[in-house]
Amino acid sequence: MECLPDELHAAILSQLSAHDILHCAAASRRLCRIATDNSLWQKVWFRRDLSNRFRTSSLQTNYRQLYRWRYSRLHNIPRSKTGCNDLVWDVALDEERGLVFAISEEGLSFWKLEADDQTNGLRLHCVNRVNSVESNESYTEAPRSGHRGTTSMTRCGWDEKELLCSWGGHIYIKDMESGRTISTFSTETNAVPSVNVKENLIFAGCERAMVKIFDRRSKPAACLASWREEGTVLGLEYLPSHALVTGGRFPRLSITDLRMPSKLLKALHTGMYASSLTGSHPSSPYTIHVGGHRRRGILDTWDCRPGREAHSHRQHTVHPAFPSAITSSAGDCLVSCDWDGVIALHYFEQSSSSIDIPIPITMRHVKVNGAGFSSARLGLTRGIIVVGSTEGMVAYQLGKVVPEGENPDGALDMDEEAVEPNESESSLRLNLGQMMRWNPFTM
Amino acid sequence: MPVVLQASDNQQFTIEKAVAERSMLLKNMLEDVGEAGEPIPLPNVAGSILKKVIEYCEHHKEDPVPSAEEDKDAFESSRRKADDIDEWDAQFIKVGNEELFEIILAANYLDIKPLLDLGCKTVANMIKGKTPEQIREMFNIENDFTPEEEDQIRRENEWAADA
Repeated sequence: MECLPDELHAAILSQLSAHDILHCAAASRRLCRIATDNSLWQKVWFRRDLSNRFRTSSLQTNYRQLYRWRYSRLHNIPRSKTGCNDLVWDVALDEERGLVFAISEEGLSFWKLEADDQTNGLRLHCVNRVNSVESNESYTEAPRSGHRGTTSMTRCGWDEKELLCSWGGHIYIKDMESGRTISTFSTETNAVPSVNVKENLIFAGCERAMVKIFDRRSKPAACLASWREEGTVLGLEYLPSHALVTGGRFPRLSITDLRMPSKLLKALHTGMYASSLTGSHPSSPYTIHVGGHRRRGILDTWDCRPGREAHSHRQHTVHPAFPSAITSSAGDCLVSCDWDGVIALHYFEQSSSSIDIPIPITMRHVKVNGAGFSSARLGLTRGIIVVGSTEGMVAYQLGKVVPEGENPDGALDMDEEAVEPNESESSLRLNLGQMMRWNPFTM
Repeated sequence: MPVVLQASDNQQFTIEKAVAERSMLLKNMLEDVGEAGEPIPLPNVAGSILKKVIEYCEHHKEDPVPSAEEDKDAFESSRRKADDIDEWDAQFIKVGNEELFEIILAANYLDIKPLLDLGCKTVANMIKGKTPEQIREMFNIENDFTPEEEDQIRRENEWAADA
């Protein structure tokens, strides 16, 4: 077989299932290189999708990864019951180190993904909990529901070993492993529903519709700039043109030039409230996806390239049963979730020439255990989804890929549209009390 | 007008033009240089393999020629099922591994798409359901991974195991 050139090896492997291709990959270095080539997986992807529904594009799509996300079974990752059993506002994931962070009414908890010998899968083990945060030698208690402590977190630092989180009206940079506070920033408000970071700049969407910017190096911590929005800011994304996109409880996206923050550069009228913002495919840093609601859960994709008059966009209903969508992206995939316990997985497709930006196409729509999802994070390499919900933190792992001819739970096929869950059931499932406690739209 | 083919070991085969034209390489050559009557040298194909290839082309000489557009569609060809092999072809391709790979190389060189597909499908069918160790043994492939690399590959590919 070694006498055959690479292209004939690839022609042979393209006749095989994913399972057999990966067995070939384990046979020798040469076969491994050929069996992991993206053009081979593109053929495998298209062969399985007979409908052409999921044909993609000129984007640098990782088809092997996409195949796994679309055709693998989804399994719950069991976890210890220590902490995170009640309302979880936000979660963060460091896939490389196998660490998960959750911020909830009980405080900040640190979890480790460990191999579970019983199931041959993973399990989550709580390794640290911080129930109060030291601040200027005094202690701030973890926010309780009455404090409207909606909060968020993200990884930061030059090697992403630090965790940026908000708690009450403060923003903290914490050591990922020990939980020690490295820096504290006071927003002089009672809640910070959204935070984000770009190199040394920290962006905060605060209560009373304030947006504040801090430099993480400044001592004492000082606010560099602040301005007021039309409503509570629930998502902030940095654009490479030194601009910040903000969205939230107001029917537009605002683009502000960070060199002139008192002046609004552009207002994009979305006509819906945004519950979350996320960046896009790595090759398109000016595309912003907005999870929001307009009677149904919407993913709205905006082209924010500078100098564009039109700022064209595409709207996509992803959560028909619940009128909101929370979204987060990683690499080639995007996840959205809703209060009805539905997780939708999307991949990016280069849209038509009229809107040449990556748009999310739903490939799976999975109803999982739990409800009241408030945040979600993807770990692409290990196939992990971590979700914050009103009933605590839940995590899922992609299992084995299902054989050809079968579809895993929630995989869309042929001309099937996203599932339409029973609306009466979904309304029964909602815990309105919990919703009022968390839902940023009630702030 | 018959066509004469000359293999790498100088064996000559006289075949009908319709049989030769199953090969896109020969078809284009005949169109370009005309029917000169001189033997066409095929330095990359041994006589024993050329004989097998001619046997295949003679059996399939009445088949419709795949359209150029179909050939160009890589996705279409990848969708044809590997077990979709007719009975005569299955008997024809029952050869040893070495001969099978020589036929695949010859089909690729002579640009005979259906024969190339048949060869690739046959090898694919041999691989189906085999473990990496069995694949190595069957095709005499050397395991050049370090134990650490092998372990890493096994972990990375666990998601598709035993599907």
